[in-house]
Amino acid sequence: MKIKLCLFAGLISLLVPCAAFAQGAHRYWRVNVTQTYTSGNQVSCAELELHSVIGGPNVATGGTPIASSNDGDTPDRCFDGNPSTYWASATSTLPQWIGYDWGSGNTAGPIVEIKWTARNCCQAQEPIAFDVDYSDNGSIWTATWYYNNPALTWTASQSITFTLSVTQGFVQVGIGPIGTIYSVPAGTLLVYTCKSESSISSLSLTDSGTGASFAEALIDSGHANNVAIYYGTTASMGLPNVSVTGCPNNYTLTSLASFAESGTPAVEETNSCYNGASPSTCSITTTSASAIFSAQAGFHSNNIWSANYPTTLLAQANGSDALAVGYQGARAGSNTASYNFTQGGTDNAPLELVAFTNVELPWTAGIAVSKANVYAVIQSSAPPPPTKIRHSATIQ
Amino acid sequence: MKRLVLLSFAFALAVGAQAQILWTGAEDIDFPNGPNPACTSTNSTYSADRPGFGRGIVNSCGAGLTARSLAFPGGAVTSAWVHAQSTGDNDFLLGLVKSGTLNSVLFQVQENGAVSLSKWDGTTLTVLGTSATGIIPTAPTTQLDFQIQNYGASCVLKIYVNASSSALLSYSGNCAVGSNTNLDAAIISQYGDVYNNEGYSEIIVSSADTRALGGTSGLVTLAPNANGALQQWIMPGYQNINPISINDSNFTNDNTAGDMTRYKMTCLPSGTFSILDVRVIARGAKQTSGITSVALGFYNGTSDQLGASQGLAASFGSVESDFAENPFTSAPWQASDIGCSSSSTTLNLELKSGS
Repeated sequence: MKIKLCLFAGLISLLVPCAAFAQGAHRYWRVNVTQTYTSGNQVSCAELELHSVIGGPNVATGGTPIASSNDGDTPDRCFDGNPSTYWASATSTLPQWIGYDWGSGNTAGPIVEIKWTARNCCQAQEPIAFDVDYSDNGSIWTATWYYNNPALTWTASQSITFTLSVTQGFVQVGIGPIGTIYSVPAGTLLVYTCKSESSISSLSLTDSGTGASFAEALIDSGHANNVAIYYGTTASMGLPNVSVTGCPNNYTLTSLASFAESGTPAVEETNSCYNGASPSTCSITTTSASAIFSAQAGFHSNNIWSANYPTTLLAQANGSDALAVGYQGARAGSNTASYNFTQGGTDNAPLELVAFTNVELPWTAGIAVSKANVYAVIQSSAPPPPTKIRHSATIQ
Repeated sequence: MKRLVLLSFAFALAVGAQAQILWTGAEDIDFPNGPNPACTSTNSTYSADRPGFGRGIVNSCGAGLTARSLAFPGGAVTSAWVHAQSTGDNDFLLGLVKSGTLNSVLFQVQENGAVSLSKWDGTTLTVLGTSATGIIPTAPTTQLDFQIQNYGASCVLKIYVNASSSALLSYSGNCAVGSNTNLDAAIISQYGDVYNNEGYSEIIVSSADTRALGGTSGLVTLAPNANGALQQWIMPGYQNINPISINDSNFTNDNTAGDMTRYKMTCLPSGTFSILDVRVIARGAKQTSGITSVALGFYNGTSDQLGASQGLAASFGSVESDFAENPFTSAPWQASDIGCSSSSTTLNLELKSGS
């Protein structure tokens, strides 16, 4: 794990109590299955437990099981404690979801763990990718965390417990008080600004997963208005967390961009620039075909980003006065690409530019193509002779 | 003696007459419309495709699911041939349909190896005839050619197996469905209740007899397998646009009209053959701002030739351009024109941003 400017020494102690993130309790929770063990199959479950405490009891009691569809095997059979019965979706069209309604005036959660039991025959129908969502009205759903493991295998009647702390991320759609640890999906760019006049006193990034991981943060500790940019861990790693502390109130999450990773993300180059005079400029040269760049500077309308290859602005704090920016850049062939960020203003704020590589982002404008084929009908100069069939029939 | 005459006549039709290829398809990208876009899968258990021709097989993704192709670029027809390789006894329906409806005439390879002819209005499947069982083996692939003559109240439907000179099954009568008087797209469906990873490959719709398109002939899928001469789009790596199964999480994108990105392609089979048609299909989408269209075509090392610029929708969908002839020479395609050859005349696939 690479952590830069991890200033909050007490962060680790916050991990366990804060793992239940600030999503709160809601009337409806569901598991929304986006991929089954074998594609082309309906989704089914013999039993499902929903836990609001890791290792805790099933809280799916006293309410009504719900599902996106069923083939006659209704959703209550997924919550009846009898693994011989099951819920199955009506078709194999994904996503399909199974969930629980605690009833009007009641809430449960946040759901931080689920225990899914496979049918005794049909492991092909069990999930290998899903998200856990909540709703307050049963129609508008908000994703909180998700799981995606193409290597996961299922056997008949197997039970697997999926826990937020060991899954792969958190689709961050809401935001809570600063100082809370947020779990973010692999490949996320966050831009925080403090609207108060206080400086961020500390900025921390950590990762509760195991194995190699990656995180990067920037902090402008000498400036009244502050920023943190975080880039998530690799998709195969454990839950990454980010904590921003020291901004006492009225902060905003200015923008957020999520992107996929191709291979292991890495910092190709970090260039910390502070030349004591303004404007200060950071430059980075990359040989990667695509990269995310983060730049951090003070609130200045004259901040300038330039490159000899096209870049796309992904996220920017404080509007046009670039306190922090994320850019996607692309380079053709094996050439190098040069990117520059020049800080406007005259306050001599520190400036840093980081290039992250092996990332792929949603495009923000224009068009995208995700698949292309060419088909050629070829006809041999010596076609095979016709063959005689065993049976024939004419119907009229 | 009579049989010899018939054989000679069939051969003359296949080789002597230049077939007009109405449409081709082999993967999920080719069936983007209808209630349920199609799936592409690879499964060696079922000998999923013929090596050198396809990368996998296409099916409807599951029981009760149906997918349609884009409308044929040349317009609707009342007579046509539908050629396909069936991967075992796949239980899927394949045929022609009227765009915007499920009104269709189809054939089906059933689980018991029988073949049936049907018409369907999206609700009721009317079986027009069924062969004996055990005709189609579980594996490997079996060539099927479905002939539709004079779609309407007095039509003839025939199904041929392995390029046989005589039809396995014929139907004469009313095959009209709904109010449409013609057919303009391909359709694949699983009306039954079986889930599996089988399906069809090398689907060719032609105005002429398709029975000669088996064996060493057929439909070859040329997928991007390396970056070509120019990449002006963002994230232009060929891996982002060559999945066997659709993956809209990986893509190449652009927002500057006129930008071009080029790709090399996989190989044609070895041998001596003519190329009857080349078709480019791409799956794309647009954002709410910026450019909105793409043109598909080829680059020959000097210049490019592109089909009409195609508008993209806000959600991912397919667009295609057909090239019945080599657009650079206006002559029939030659085997050396396209594929993986390092020859300077070998074309790159090109994506060009529109306005």
